[in-house]
Amino acid sequence: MIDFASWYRAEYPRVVNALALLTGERQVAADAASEAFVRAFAKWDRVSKMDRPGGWLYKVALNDARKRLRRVARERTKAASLEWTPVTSAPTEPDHELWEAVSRLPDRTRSAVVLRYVADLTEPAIAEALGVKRGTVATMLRRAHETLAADLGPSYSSERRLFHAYT
Amino acid sequence: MPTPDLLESAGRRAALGPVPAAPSLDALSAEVDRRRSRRHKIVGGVAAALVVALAIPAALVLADNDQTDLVTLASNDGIELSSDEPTGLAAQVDPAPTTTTSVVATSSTAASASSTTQQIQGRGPFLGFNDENFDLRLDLGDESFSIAVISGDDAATRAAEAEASADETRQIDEQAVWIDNNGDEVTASALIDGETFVEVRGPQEQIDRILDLVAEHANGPVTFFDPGGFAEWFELPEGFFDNEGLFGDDFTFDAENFPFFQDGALDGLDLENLDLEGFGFEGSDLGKLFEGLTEGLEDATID
Repeated sequence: MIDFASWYRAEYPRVVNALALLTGERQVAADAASEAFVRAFAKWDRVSKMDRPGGWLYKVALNDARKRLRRVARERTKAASLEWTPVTSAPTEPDHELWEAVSRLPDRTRSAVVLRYVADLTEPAIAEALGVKRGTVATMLRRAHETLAADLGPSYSSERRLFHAYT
Repeated sequence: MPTPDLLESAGRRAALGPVPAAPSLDALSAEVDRRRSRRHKIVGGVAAALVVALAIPAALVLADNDQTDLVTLASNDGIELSSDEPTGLAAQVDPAPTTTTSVVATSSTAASASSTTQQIQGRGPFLGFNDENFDLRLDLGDESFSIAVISGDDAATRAAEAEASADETRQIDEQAVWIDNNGDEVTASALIDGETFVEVRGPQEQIDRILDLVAEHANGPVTFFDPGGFAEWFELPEGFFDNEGLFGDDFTFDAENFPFFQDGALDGLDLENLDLEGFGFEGSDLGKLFEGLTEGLEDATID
């Protein structure tokens, strides 16, 4: 059985950062991550035996983050918003342009990208977290690459070509 | 995806970004204990959640079997079931965030749109909920049954009103329960932990059964509660109503286990796009709705 304490310590920063990228709200991200880990801890006997506990965790965290975002939106604008708040600033300066481009992707595609590359989830785990089929995840990621390549131009495509030249 | 990919490296950097200090394990453990403790205290609320969960299939069955001319489950962000189409079930989901999300279930009984409005505003099955409250009303034959769970500022006000109008106060699990019996129906209500008001209203027999259940299982498992005979009706899996079932950690609702749901009754319900605000529900099947309802109750009573 996976040790909860180790899993928690290893995954918490990653979960917060992934949610922060998706929501644009670091406090919402931290709160949603904490809530997800509380629920995981409460049900650890079951969660630890899952094939993809990460998928379950992000599913809970994403739902909680959405709920918190609605509250934030209501408090700020008095009008409920059901959409993710687009990321408006990159988490790290070197990747600013890339994450800006990611923020322009459709909601679910953006989620798939962040869960794949920031949360480091496998495609089946992403599928579980987003409630879609695995094939859908693969399609979303492929389209994301195409869109990002078109959006970012040579700076994105050249690195991918460089890699493929060596493989 | 290959390691040197631009997204891979950027993703790794993003994952390592600074974050607030993680809550300690002790803090997590304390929070889990607090929730478990309160969960026992709100066993009345658990019974409420059970009935809420039952209300969904019950409403669908009633609509589908033409046993009622109108079944309405509605709220600001809830579900509305009506019977204004000749056959089957149809879904209408309004994605606009500030307007009502509705699902219309149809049966063979004709009913006008105006009657829908009247039912929503007046008598008739009803389910309403938001971040702080939910309100359920069922009409089964000549009897009606309602449950309200209210948190927030209104809870204390409603509790004061209930206490003032009570004919009797009972102590159940060190919890004051106010009983108001007007002859036709009984209202049992309580203020849980000073912040959550729970009110159950219905025929005396039903209320007595619920209070007995609460008293008997206040500090233990809910073993069986099936006032409507739903287990047989829905061919429910063994243990569905047990604490290890509906409210157990291992319980998940799977429509495949329910023959009723395989008969096309849910055709047209766009559950994928249902978003029941307040319950964190964005599911693809009815099971997630059930999960959302039960989790929503926890949210309503814990937040």
